[in-house]
Amino acid sequence: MKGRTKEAVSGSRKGKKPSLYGRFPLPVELQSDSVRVAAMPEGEVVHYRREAPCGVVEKTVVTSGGRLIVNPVEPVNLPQSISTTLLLHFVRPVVVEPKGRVVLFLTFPIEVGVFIARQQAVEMLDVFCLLPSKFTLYGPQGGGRVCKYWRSKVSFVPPTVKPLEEGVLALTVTNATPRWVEVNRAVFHAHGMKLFFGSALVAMQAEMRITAADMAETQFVDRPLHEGMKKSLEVYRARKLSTAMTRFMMEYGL
Amino acid sequence: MKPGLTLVGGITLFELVGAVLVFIAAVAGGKVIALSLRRSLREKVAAHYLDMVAKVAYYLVVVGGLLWALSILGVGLSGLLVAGGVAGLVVGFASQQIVGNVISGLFLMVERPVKIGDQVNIEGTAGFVDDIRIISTTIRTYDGLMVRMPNEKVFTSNITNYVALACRRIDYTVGIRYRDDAEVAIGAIKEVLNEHPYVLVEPTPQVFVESFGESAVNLTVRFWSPVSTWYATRSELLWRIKQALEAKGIEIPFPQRTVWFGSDQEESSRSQKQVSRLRKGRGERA
Repeated sequence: MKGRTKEAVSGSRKGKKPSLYGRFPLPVELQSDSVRVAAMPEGEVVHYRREAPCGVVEKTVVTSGGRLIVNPVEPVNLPQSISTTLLLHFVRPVVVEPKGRVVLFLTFPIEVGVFIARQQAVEMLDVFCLLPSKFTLYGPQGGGRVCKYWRSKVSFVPPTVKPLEEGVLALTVTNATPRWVEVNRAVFHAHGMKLFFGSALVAMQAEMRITAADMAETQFVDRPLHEGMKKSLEVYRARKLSTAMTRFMMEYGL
Repeated sequence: MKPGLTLVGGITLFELVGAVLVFIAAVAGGKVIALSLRRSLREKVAAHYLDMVAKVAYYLVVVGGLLWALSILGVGLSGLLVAGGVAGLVVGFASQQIVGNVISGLFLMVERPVKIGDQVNIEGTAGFVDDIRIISTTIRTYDGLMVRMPNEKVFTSNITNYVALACRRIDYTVGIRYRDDAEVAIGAIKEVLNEHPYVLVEPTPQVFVESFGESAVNLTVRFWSPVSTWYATRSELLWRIKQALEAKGIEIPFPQRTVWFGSDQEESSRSQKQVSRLRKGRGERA
């Protein structure tokens, strides 16, 4: 097919599903499961079209070159960007012994970002999500904050997930207190997310340091889960937004 | 003797022109600084903070320019303070309300019960806070009017801020027919709430039988939504609930009343006997 990238074509030939993620010179046409992303020439301009179960988006891009970057982004942009925090609610609570340390594997929802880039200038063209969104309040009604909500199973080995829908979070929980602590949820600041992707996996790493029975501090670790994973372009950096807050203090319970 | 044309109070024309130019330059400089602050920080700082920073920068430059201009005219800071003290008394008595507004404006900026962009209701005027100036606050009402309120009135009034907290509750009363199954209706409504992204998971939505009305069993639906999406969610969900109930064969009844006319006494007594028989059959007391 004209304009289809090497990666997508080779993926199809080998019989494995081609990854939507990566950096592609224009023109490009990508297809994975129910999602199709294409940026094809149309006269002097480029016609961008994305088809997914959540809808179709079309844009005209004026460029004489450039490249398309598709990668997972912080899952706090859709349906509207009303929150910058992500709350992962554990299906089964985890009780951690005094001074204990454990690595948990959780899942989190994925939003797929499509960027257009030319030299150093990067602009977000589109963002979409294949799973329904939900929000919740963390903390009291006066003073608490609205968070993107996701209910996650807790496992001790990386779970198998669909890379366009869910990612894997390796969370290192450290109980710094001299008492047993039950953890039901983890809240993170999306500004600090460090997402990495491979052909079949989206993953990130984070730490939770429990400092009291109902208080903990969370932050992301800028390190891939496996060797060879590529780092995602961050929406907040692409938009040149202030990213002063990267840690989150869970002060309203665990 | 100073060189040049001397005006009132020994001030030369050269000094006067210099002072005026310095003051104009300060005003222009203040505007340029405020504008460049707005441009450079627009994407990094929240709009209400940015507005305050720009205003403070502007007034600082203007006041600095004014003091410089006065010093060119030979007015010292100490003299200014004494003069200011006396003038302050005079002005204070003459313009109590204006001074009150200025002080209230300062308190509004410090205490911040409202911010630019907030949705508020002050003394019955509801809308968006468009600007908080040194003397007055302007509110853009929902129907597109601009209302200017003196800061003193804003500060001393009861203010309802609709967006100060993270989320707001939405309440509906939904009536169903007496013959409909309330549990099925509750299940259908909960499904609609669970599917909507802006119905918060916590606090948990509540749906329960509230009362037995004249024509319907009244269900109360209570849930919370983020303040920024509250109105849209409230408007959207009521209709979705109606559709979900109808899909389950549950109807929202019209108000109805059985009226017996005096001439229909025979008919009425016959019907009452029928009702009594039915109640007996069900083992109810008449």
